[in-house]
Amino acid sequence: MTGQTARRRGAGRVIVVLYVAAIIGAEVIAVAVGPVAGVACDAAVLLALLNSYAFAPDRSENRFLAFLALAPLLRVLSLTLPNRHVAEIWWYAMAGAPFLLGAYLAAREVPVSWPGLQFRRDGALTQAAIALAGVPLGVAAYEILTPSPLIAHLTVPSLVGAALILVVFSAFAEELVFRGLLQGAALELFGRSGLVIVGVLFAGLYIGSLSVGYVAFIGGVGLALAIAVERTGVLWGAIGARALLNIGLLLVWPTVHG
Amino acid sequence: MTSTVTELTARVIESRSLTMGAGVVAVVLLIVLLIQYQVLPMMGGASAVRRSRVYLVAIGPLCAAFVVVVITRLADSLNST
Repeated sequence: MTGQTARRRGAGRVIVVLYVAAIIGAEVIAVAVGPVAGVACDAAVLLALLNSYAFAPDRSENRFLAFLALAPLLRVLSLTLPNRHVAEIWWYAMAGAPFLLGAYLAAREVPVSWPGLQFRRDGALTQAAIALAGVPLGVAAYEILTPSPLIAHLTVPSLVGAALILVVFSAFAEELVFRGLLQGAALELFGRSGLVIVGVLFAGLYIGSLSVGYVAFIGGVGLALAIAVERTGVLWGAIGARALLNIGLLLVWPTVHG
Repeated sequence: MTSTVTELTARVIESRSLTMGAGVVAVVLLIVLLIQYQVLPMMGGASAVRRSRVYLVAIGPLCAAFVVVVITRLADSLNST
């Protein structure tokens, strides 16, 4: 790497870190000042990120910015789409479906190598073990947040339907973006320290949970899953773990303890 | 509670003015993105056309969101009448 290339990448890394700080800042503003102020900040950051990619040369530091735009996009969607006349479980689908569309468009438009969704029989046991870690993590998450159940009277069909929504629109969508696209771009730009950058961003997006303990917990979970995905090169274990964590946290444990 | 739907989402839904405010910001964002998507290719070159497609990353989801909001509001008003 020439001196000029190294300087350029160094400057690119600083810009990425500043944008991550801006996204976390928007989350803090949404909590401290108000959700509308937070959405306005997220919209400004989203616009700046997409302009940075559109007006700059095609380099790894700029490609990361295009994927980073998915984070403020998620918050804009999650604060504008849900409707009080729609059952809470559907909010996940209402915000998650357009977010998945954004992830698909980003993966199509911006070239980057990322951990795949392919099935490998030789690593199936490892992926299953990673996924099963979601069960105790769900218990721990429930102990920290103790949310009320997403569905008041849980039946088997409603459990299956709600679990499907959480798997597709929360676990799959978020892991695809954070452990897939963003982690792939971060590893290209930062090397292994990129895992920490994405982990901090991931935890920052949970500031809206209004629980410092949960932000720290989910940051640790995100980092552990990032390391697992980096070592195995496959996303399915992380998706399974997040799915079981969310199902335990929002459906099973609140009903069992309620 | 996930990063897709946080406690803040519930807070926004409690207040009609907050829902309206967030919606207005999203619509303004969509309009600005659509203008930039049209203007950037005029600045020249195949590269500008290709790179302007990155705006679709936000335009696509925001258009889908707009359709969902219109449908759900329409359903609300039909139910209430």
